[in-house]
Formats: sequence, structure tokens, C-alpha cells
Amino acid sequence: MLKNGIPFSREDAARVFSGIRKGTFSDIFLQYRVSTSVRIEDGILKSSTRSVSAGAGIRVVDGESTGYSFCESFEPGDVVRAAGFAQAIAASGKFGVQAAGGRRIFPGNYYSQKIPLIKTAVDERAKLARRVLDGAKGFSPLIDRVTVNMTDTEDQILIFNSLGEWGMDVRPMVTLSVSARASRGENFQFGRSGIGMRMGFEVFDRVESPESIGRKAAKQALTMLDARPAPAGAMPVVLAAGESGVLIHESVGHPLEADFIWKKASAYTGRVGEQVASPLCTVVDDGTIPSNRGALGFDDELTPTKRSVLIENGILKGFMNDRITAETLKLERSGNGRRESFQDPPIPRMRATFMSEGKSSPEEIISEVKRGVYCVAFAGGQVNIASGDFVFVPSEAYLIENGRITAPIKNLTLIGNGPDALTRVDRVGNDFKLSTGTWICGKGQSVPVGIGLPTVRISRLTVGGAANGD
Amino acid sequence: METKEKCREIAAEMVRLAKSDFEYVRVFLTASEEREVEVRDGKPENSSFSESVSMVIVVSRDGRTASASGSDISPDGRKFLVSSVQELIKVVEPDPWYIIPEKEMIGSAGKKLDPVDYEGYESRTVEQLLEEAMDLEKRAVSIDKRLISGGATVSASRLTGAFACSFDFSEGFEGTDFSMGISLTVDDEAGDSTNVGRKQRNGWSTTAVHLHDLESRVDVARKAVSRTLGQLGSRKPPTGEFEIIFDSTSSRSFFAALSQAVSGTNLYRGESFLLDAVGESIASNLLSIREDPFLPRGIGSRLFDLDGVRAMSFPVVERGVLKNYLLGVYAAHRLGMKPNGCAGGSSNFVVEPGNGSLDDLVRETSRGILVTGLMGQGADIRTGDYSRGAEGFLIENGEILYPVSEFTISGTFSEMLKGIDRIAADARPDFSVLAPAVRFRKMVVAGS
Repeated sequence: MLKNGIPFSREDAARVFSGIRKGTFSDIFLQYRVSTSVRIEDGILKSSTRSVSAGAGIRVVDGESTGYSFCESFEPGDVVRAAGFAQAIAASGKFGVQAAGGRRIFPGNYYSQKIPLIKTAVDERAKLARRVLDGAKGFSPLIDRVTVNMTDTEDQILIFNSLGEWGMDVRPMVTLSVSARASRGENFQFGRSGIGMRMGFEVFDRVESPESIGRKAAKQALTMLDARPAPAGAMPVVLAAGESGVLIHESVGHPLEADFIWKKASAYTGRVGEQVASPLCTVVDDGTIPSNRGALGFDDELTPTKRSVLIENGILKGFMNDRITAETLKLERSGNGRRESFQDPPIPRMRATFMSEGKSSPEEIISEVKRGVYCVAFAGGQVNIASGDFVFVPSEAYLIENGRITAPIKNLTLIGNGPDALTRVDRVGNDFKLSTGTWICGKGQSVPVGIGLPTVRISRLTVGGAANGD
Repeated sequence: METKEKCREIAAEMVRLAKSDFEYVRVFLTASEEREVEVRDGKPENSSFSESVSMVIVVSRDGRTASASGSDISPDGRKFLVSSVQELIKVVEPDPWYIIPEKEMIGSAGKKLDPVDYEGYESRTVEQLLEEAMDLEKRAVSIDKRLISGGATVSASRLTGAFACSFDFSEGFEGTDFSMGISLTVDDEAGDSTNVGRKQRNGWSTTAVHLHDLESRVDVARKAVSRTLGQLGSRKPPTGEFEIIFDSTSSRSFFAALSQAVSGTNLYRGESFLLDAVGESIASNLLSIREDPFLPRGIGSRLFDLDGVRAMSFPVVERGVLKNYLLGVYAAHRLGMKPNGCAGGSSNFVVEPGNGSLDDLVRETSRGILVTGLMGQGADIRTGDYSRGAEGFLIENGEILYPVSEFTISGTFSEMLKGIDRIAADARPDFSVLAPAVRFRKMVVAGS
């Protein structure tokens, strides 16, 4: 275990940079990550795991080309060797090192640990996980299987770049997920819930109690026992506040990442200033929301994070970029350069992405729907960047009939086209909510993200259920 | 990078270090080296060249289990992993189903897998990778001037590793892996008025254990282009019931999900629609599937599993009847069955080929949809529900009419499996799930 931070000095960094002959920019990303997990299954604390991941990634940029390598040690000699591999594709460029003097970049203060993760004994974790189990089991005798997984991670980050900038940050994360199965005869249904935030273990006192998280999963499983097959066809869809932010993440989030713009692969390429969504839509990506899963003091390239407005009243305002795409596309840096670990180069990624609040009341939004679908919780989503087609997959959804929420429905996927669906947003609620769930975004590399949304109605979206002609 | 023999020594040494404190110890160590380049618009865009190591130790005592993993395999790093499991095991509760594997099962199957092509690997210098990626990209974009490159990637990696356990057994393994692919984008002028800026993006890639088994650059370029241009002008199909053909890419994802549904871990947790189904007819009698860890040069081939249990080949589905689950030591014990070398899941999941090509399936379809791409997490093996986003082509009277997208297909795994009425013989060896194109008699499509 590291007692005094990552053992790598500014002199060590200068030594690495002085060995680089080609390229125009370089950075070193050092990381020491400790994760501890506990798992409850069959009512017992069945396993516990610790994993340590430590190393240094080095990147040499030459215009639009990036060479990358890493080593699983903090030995300056190993990093120098990795730098040699990283500069292999740099063709030219006069490498300039400005390590002298140096400028320290301090991370924004968006997270802390009141109950520190590393110092907490493993049996404290076991107690917390058991309270989740109690919450789920205690909800109903029909709940016959519960699985609880809790992982807490502390990431120590140290970054140096060839502009002489450096900075360090400590990033905590608690991720708990629970799956509950409800059984009635031959009918099994599952419910899932969880919490994922950049905090210490105080998250369970301040945000949501373990029992409540367990009850939520149990309640969802019980609800789904009575679910009937979802309808098939195009109809109005109302998205409940919070988790439905998956819609924003998939439909406009990914297509507004600047690497897709740079590669001319996104449907939004070259459209800044155009009306791309209903005037009711304002979409924001924010890395500064305290304790949010997507919060970062600075991104993985030392760029301070901020609140970036992507779409304002339906007009496209900007993209989420990293250092390379900002430079190539001549954009102001937004602080979206992120990586899964020291083994990966940074690329433009979302932080916490959400739609801002509107004026309608949720009750009114639902009451106006004659026949449609109301979605509460989600298993996930996916988007085809180029065509804009996206899906999102509800794990808890209901029919709306004559302005009222009626029966729960199961086995459905919603499919739409991002640019098209957002023009069909005809109500935005006054009940904005950030999800506290365990969202992971996969784009070659996995990173934790935040999502959020007020109640939103889309006038027409394709609902893919199995009840044809229902 | 550590050699296979060195990995074996380290793993065995690690077991010796922890052995006296625990009833049973097993260690799994892998070391890998990877070289990858990506070019776009004739210029190098990314290259990476890295080595990494990962070691996992799993210990047990009185029915309690704990594990730790890390990349530091130095003597200090090993000591830290051992001290971690010593701390963690104190809070874990005894598991009444815990079992130490029978010593006789532990070992390495005596088969030749032909798992490495070191000559091929050594030929993969950064310069060579760059040259091939540039060539692949040039070939692809020159086929049609509307095409924009999304990047051509060529990579090579090699892996060594070892398993060791308290039975004084330790064994190494090794492998190489080569791949090459390209993604392409094209502006799509069709589509309705609210759908501005629509593009089509697609591609193709190939993977093999031996360099010369890769598809040629000519073929990769041609397939990538045809998949990308094929979707131009796609629209929604009507809502209704259709015959559905999965091409081998879509079929692979369906059968990969099925392999999860028959894996012991999901079964003992009650998270599969195939609980207590061995001996039952679960699919059309056209369908047979076997678990085959011994395919020479197979992507998933192995001689033992994560428990160190000797690998074996056996039928999973025979003429529609479920014959065996995929079992590791613990799951087998939970289910009252015998382990069959599948801790960590399937090695190669091989769907027995039928006959004919994808084109034959299309020709034999009166009103259907050929699915070439699937999206979303709507394949739920726990409940057996299936609902996913899709794209592909509308078929009428054996002819492709037009490309379709932005629709879903829905049903259940059971209905789909029983509804398989045609299987082609075009599985690709590029993946550990070897699945040919299949046709399902009927599914619900939600479109316009």
C-alpha cells in the first residue's frame, strides 16, 4: 500500500520528457487504484476481493497522431522505456519541454470522504451490505433470492505534461448494486437497484440508506410479477425523472463527443447554431456536481472541468472535447478527456449529462396521454453514432391509458433516432432529478458517468414489445 | 514479457507462499503484450505498445473464500496479495456449499491446440502494422468516393500465463492473437425531414490465432464497404410479424447469450430461463451445439479451466434437447452435477452448421427481415425475454427489397430457439462462439 502518495517526482517526469525526441506534446498519467469488494449471496457474505492496479501511462502526441504505452510500475527507468515505445509513430515535430518552473493545477473541490474508504475495516463493509439484504428480504416473503455487490475504489492520480503542468487528485467511488428475485409459482421476475457516488461510506447516511436501496430492488421485482407483455408500435412515451437520463446520454450525448465530430461520423457534424431539438430541450454535461459519479476535479489531461451547455432551447451549442480534438477543431477545452485507467489514452467522454428542468407538472404530462408508455427504470441503452438510431431498455415500465398509469409491462426496447426524437419532445417537467445509480459508460473503455432528467414526454417513439396488435 | 515457464514458476511459488495458511490455494497468472496501430485518412492516428501482468490468488479455509489481484508480481507484491487475503478471509462467512475440487480432475488435457504463431508475431513491427493499416484503408475508401474512413486498425498480441494450486499442480499456457479491421462512414441523403445529418457507419474485422488465417485485406475492405453502403436510404419496416434471419454476426450474439444461460454460475443463482432443463427439448431439432475446447487454433481453445480442471469436449444441445450445462467446480456442486471444465464459461461454443449460405436463406424466405445489426441490452437470459433494436433488410419472395433500421424485434429465447427452421453453414472461426446464420419462423417487429 502507498503511504505517501505515488513515488514519482517532477525531476523524474523531466527525465522522461528529456528522453523524447519527436512529437509536439507528451503527458504521463500515474495511477494507484485500490478496490475492495464484498458479495452477499444465499444470505451469507460469500466472498471478498481486493484488487490493486498501479502504473504509468505515457502518451506522445505529434499533431493528430498519438503514440501510447504504459508500464505497471512507477520506476522512472520503466517509464522512460515506455516513452520510447510511445514515440515510435511520431514522425516529426520539435519536442519542447517546459518542465522548469512548473505549474501546479489544483483539482476543483467536488468530492471528499468523510468516512474514508481505505481506512474502513472490511467488516464495516460487510455490515452495510447485510443491511441492503435485510431491506430487500424484509420487503416481501415472495423475494427468494438477493445478491448484493459492493465495491469501493480509491484512485490516486498524478499527471505531468510537457507544458510543465502537473497535478494530483484523489478520487473516491462507492458502487453498490443489488439484484432481487421475486417468485410466484413458475413466474420469476427480477428487480435491480443501486447507488454509485464519489463519496466515502457516508453516502449511506447522506444519500440513501442501505435498507432503502434493498427495498427498491424488491419492489421492482414484485411489480414485474404482474407485468404483461408490452405493446408494439409507435406511441407517446413519458420518461420518469432521474434514470430516464439514459435517453439523453445515448441520443445526443455520444453523438456530441468531439472525436465523432472530428471523424465526421456524427449526425451532428457541422451543425452548431442549428435547431436540433425541440425548443423545450436544454442539455448540459457537467463535471462539477458535488459527489456525482461523473464529477472530476480536473479531467485525465489536467483540464479543469466545468458545466458545458451542449444544447440550449433546442439550438446546438457545442461539443465535449479532449485536448487533441479541442486543438484540431479549434474549440475551447471542455474538460472531457477521460480514460478507464493508466492503460488507456484519454478520449472525449461524458461526465454527468442531463436535460434541464421545464415548466410542466408530471401529473399533467401523464394526464394528457390517451395511450402510451411510462418508463421508470432502465437496464441501459446504446446508440449508433452515425445514423443517430438509439435504443434504451426499460427495466420498469407501465402502460398509460386515458391519462392514468395502469398495468406494469415487460420485455420492451424503445427505439428512436436522436435528431428525430428530440424534435418530438413536447413536455418537460418541473421535477428535475439526478440519478444516483451505478451508471457505467462503455466506449472501448469503461468510465463511471452521471445522468439526470425531469419528467419528459416524447410525442411519438417506437415501442418494441411482443404483444402485436394489442 | 515473462515466458510461459517463468509464469508457471511464479504461480507455483505464490501457492507455496500461501499454502500453509489455507486449506486450498489457487493462483492464476497472465502476462500479455500488445501492439496496435490505427490510421485514418492515410496518417497514423494512434499506436499503442504495452505489456501487462495480472495475478489472482483465491484462498479458502473452513468453507470461507477470499481473493486478491494485482499487477505487481515482485516478491513484495506477492506478499501484499497474501496479506490481503489473510485480512479479507476473516470477515467472510462459511459457505455450506464450498468444495475443494477432487485432485483427479485437476490437470491439463493432452491435446495439441496450435495456439501460437511467434513467427507471425515477430513480423508485426510498428512499421509493418502501419503499412498494412494504410493499405487496408486505401483499398476500402477507393471502392466508392462517398466513403469516409473511420479508421483502420491492425493489431497483434501475445499472452502467456499459468495456473497453480495446492495439489502441487502447476501448468502454463500461451497464445497469440492477430486482428485487422476498418470502420467506414457515408452520408445518407435519404430519410425523412426531421432526420438531418444522418450517416451510415459500419465496418468489418477479422481475428485469428495464426497470422495467415486472417481474412485478406481485399476481403475485409470489400465486406466493410458493402455493409456500409448497404444501409443507405434505410427506413422503418412496418409493424407486424415476420420471418427473421440473423446473419452470422447477429447469430453470434444470440448464441453467446445462450451460452450464458447454460453456464453454471447463472443457473445456481437462479438467473437463467433454462433452470432444471437438462434432458428437455428446448429448441428446434435442427439445432445441435457442442462445447469444444480443443479446436486447433480456436479463439477460445484451452487445456484446463479457471479452476485448473481438465478441459473436455461434450454436447450442449443435441437435436434440440439440452444435454449438459457448462460447469465449474462450485456451480456443479451447487447443482448436484459433475464439473466439466467450464469455470469461467464456455471455451468454444460451436453451433453445428446446417447447409447453404446466407443468400440461400434469403432466397427461401417469403416475407421476412434479414438482421445484420443488433442494439441494446434487451436479451434477458434471466427471464428469457428478448427485445432488441435492429437494422437489416426487408425480404419479399426471396428478394431483398430495401434496407431497414430503427425497429425492434421481440419474442422470447424459448420461442426463438423452438422456431429455428433453417441453419446455414457460414460460421466464422474469428470468435469463440461459432454461429452460422439462422432463421426464426416468426417474431414481432415494431417499426412504423
